[in-house]
Amino acid sequence: MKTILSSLAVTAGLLTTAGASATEAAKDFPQRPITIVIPYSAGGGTDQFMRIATERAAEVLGQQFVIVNKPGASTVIGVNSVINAKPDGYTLLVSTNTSYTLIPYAISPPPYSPEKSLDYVATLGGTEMVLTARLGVPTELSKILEKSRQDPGHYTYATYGVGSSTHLAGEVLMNDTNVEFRHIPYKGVEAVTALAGGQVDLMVDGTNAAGTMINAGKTKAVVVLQHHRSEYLPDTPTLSEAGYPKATASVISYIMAAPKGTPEPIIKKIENAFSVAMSDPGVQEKIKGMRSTITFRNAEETRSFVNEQAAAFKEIVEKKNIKF
Amino acid sequence: MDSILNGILVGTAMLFDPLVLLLILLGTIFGVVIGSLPGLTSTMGVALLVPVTFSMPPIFGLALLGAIYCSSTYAGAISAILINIPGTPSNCSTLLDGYPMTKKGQAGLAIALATAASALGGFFSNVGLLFLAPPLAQLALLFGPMEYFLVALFGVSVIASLSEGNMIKGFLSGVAGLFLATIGMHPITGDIRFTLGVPEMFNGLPLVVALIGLYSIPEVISSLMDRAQKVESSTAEVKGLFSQMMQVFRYKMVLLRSTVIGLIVGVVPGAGSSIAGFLAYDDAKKASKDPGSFGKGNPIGVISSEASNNAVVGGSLIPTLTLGIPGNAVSAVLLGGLMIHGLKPGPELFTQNMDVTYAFIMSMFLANLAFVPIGLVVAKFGVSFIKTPVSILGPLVIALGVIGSYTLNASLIDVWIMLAVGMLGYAMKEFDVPREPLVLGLVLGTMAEGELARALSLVQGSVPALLTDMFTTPVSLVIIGLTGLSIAQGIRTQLHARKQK
Repeated sequence: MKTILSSLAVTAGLLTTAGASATEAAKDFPQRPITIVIPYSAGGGTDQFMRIATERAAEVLGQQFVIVNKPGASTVIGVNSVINAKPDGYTLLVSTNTSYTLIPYAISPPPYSPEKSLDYVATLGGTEMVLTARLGVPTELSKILEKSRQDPGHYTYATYGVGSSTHLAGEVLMNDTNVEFRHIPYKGVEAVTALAGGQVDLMVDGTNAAGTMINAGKTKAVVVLQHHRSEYLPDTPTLSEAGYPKATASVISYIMAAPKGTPEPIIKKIENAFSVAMSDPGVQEKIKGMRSTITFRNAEETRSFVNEQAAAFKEIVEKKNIKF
Repeated sequence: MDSILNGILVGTAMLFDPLVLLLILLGTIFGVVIGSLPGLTSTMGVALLVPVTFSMPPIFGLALLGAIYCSSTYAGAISAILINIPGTPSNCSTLLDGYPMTKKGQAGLAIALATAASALGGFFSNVGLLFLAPPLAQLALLFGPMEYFLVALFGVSVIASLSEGNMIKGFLSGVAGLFLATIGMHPITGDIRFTLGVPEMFNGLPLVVALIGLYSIPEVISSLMDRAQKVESSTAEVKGLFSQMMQVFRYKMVLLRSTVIGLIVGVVPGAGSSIAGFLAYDDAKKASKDPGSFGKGNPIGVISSEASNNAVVGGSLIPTLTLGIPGNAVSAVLLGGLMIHGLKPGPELFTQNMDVTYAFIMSMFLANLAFVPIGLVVAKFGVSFIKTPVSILGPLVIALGVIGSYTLNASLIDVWIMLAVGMLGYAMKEFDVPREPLVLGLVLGTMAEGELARALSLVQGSVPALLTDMFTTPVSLVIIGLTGLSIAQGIRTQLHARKQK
């Protein structure tokens, strides 16, 4: 009994020391530049967003951020490189929600498990999404859906590629409105050209890229895939206004995560630095310039947001047999 | 027209700020370094500096980025000519005649001509951007998956031109390239093929990595085995580099045709800017009275290739500025930079923000001239660079290759891929199989497969419907006609050569 007690005491002591040293480490954190892995190419939406955000966050933390772009394999390469990194807060991941909610369920065998291998740090912001149409297709969602119900697959819709955020949003929309469009995945921005050139009927796009064509009168916005109006497309109806108050909203979110086991105090410190950065008026103005939005969620809120979305998408992935 | 002239005046006035001029110069130097190092691409160079421009007034930032774009596209020629490794994928066709010129002791002349051709090609495509942007932008919208597929087929017809001497070996190499292009995820279904379970291969064989391996490794092995021809260099050629540069004006027709080809390839977003050089090279060779001299150090090969790849720059900015559709990866990054500065592409760019837009276009003229003196210096220095003993130069080239392939995606797997492709390249060199058709096959294979699959899914998989479309839409008929002409001309040249023998 005595030995058990003493060993318990030792364990407790060790735990306290461990806790103390983690707090201690957090106090000095960061002592060197922090690497942020982005699983997309330099110059893309996520990359631009993070280069703006890190500029301010670096001032708060007193250390620079080094952005490393590891594109490819639907973000699997970049995500895995972070999962395998030392959980000390010096290697972080920033990716869009598909890395957390779609990719792990659509690729078999699953390339990684976000729940088991990553700790969430924060959601920094995102880009709103919109369903756009070529000229000549009805502008009202109801008419498009009616036609599609009479003749499933009548309309084609373009996305930025298999497994992209736009693909996921398209599947969610079709699922919620119970219609079928034919999916034509493009490689990046060619999709926008295809819509403006009239080769496809519809497209799921971010408001950032879609805005130019809509303003130029080459394409038109049908519905924003959310329940509040977008400040970048103020005249476009929302899903609720179009008659689908229960439809799932889709948004491209920029979510930051760390390798599983990163000390809590360190995560808090990074979370706080970005919370300050995202509320900075200078940062907000630049983000507005690229037609993206700032939506800050802390670690816990991010976790429940991801789990909620993942559960919904997992169902759709299974039901519609999305695999790659 | 009046508004354009007005824009030119307002824009030019904005440029004459010492800081803007300094930024153009700095951007040019940075671009030359990025472009001439294999593995560092123009896209990466521009993307790296976009955040630096956040805090600058818009025209400062845009002038800087524009200068990097122009000069890095040019500078890939330097390594192509001197060490037979294209600095960026756009310069691949430059080494066809550029490196043989170096072997003949004409490295200085080759660089001088590449510099002048790049400057002129860039300059005149910018004239197109200035005066013809709105009509040319419409061209971008006329191309759909079917048209792009036909463009890829047109590109395949160029392989004959790259397989001097042995057509069978050339086609084998081209087919190998087409096969290698099927590695990775299928563009429509997402099926994963030939990746050996390595996630790094999901996106296919990376072109830049393949290029480094294919060209650097074989060259180094051969030179270490001391079988490479000794590079000669006469003192006469280092002198009078400027007058050598002026020789470019002897080839006015080549310059004009190559610039137009580059401009059009640049405007059409899905055409893949790296094929511009190949198409222009092929065109110049077919128009030449002495096609047999190509591939053996004919200056026209260098001129056509370089004029066209720099003409892509102005072309790619046309849909970017007028429609918000980037003509290629670099202009996509530039577009992001524009938007952060509150400049939204579209008609209002040329009305509300007229001053900055025209200042940017005018700054591109300066950027296309700024690399000329730098090119002359490099030409002078480069000649002594290649006199460096193989024992030093060889490992240096390999080191550059390893760093270059790693940097692209920060992935060690890419280095292994580079070395593996390097072995393949060495075998090809030993057996006298041309490597350029493989590169072209790799570029076109990805394009042809994706576009055909997309075109078919648009017509619900019906082949007859696709064929009907192909032979009834004007744009595709033009491309089919061009392909027919190209093949016929290729056969004629071959027959002609046989008769002469």
